[in-house]
Amino acid sequence: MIALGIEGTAHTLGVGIVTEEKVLANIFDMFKTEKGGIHPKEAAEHHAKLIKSLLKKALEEAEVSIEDIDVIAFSQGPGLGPCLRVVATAARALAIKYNKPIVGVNHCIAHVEVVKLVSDVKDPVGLYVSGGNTQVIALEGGRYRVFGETLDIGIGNALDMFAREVGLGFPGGPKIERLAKKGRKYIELPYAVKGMDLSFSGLLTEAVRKFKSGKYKIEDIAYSFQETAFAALVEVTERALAHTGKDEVVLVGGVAANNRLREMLSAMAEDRGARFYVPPYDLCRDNGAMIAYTGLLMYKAGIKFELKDTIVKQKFRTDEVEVTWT
Amino acid sequence: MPKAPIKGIIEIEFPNEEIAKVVYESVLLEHESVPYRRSRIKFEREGNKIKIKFIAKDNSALRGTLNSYLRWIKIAMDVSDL
Repeated sequence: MIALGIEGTAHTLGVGIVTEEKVLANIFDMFKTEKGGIHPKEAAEHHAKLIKSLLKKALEEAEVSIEDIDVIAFSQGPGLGPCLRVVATAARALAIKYNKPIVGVNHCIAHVEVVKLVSDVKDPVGLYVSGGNTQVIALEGGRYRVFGETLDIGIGNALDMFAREVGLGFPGGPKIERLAKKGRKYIELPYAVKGMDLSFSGLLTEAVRKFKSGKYKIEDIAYSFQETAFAALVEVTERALAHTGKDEVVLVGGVAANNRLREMLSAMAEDRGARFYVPPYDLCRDNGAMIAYTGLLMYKAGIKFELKDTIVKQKFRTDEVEVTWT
Repeated sequence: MPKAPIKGIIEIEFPNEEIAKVVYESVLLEHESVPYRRSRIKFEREGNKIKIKFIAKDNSALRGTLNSYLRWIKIAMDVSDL
């Protein structure tokens, strides 16, 4: 079976084509602004302009035609309304024109599900870290439960906003990581784990305030920012592991590229005797292959969408979806 | 005195009824689900034509609304021709 998936919840437009066993194509284009940040309608315009060319490229790379596709999947949410509507409209048009079944996929779940395509990980606790989302999720009782999540901004957003405030530009994550490696002195910053949830806005405000005071080296602030935020992420992930009794941890989302976060999470997993896995970066970041693969699993499990079910869900919760495909 | 609303009709003719139907059905759900507070839209298909009848409170409401509809229509047309 071959599935085509379209991802477009935020700044990345992606088209992926997969089978049950492998990724045939995974094409992206990311909407970028000079100073960072994202205007939803501008991002939607970017996606609208490129959707046809990305679909064509993906089909070429996969060496299949649209007629060979068995199911069309699309990112139904959560995400930015105008971007989601571009993707949903494209997916509907493909489904109607080429007479294909259509499946709407939860973006957060797809980030974790795609790990199963490229590894033998079976039932992990997932730490999903990106610009817009920060969640610790795992399958329990037939749904992906959110064991912990950010109460305000995503960790990726916090990193980017800090970078912007201190003049590092966009995207900020890799620049902060490079600076942090040169940091030597830990500066105390707000560490906010509330129950199982996280908060990064206080950390961001204080880090910017410390930078503007002129009393601290940017390298030390970057180092302390990472250590504080990542320690909180690792703590919540560890508690989810303890609670669920699972023995696999996966790190997904754009911030999974950060080597310090990988190192800290890996150390925690090793201490607990759990296996730690990070998929290749093209499957960590927002991508069409993860949507295609999750859509394929859903469709194979008998999940059928009528056209009326394809309405976008900007606040699509991870635990809304009944997982019947595992 | 409040400004008069801006009214109009955009009619798009497609090469055939099949394409018009694909486009119309792809966009219809967005038309039905997106809340517009400062404009009203009627979105209709007649044979190989799609009509967008609009009443907008001002220029910015008009631009925002029409941009969305035209964007969706273009997407549906684009991907119907791979």
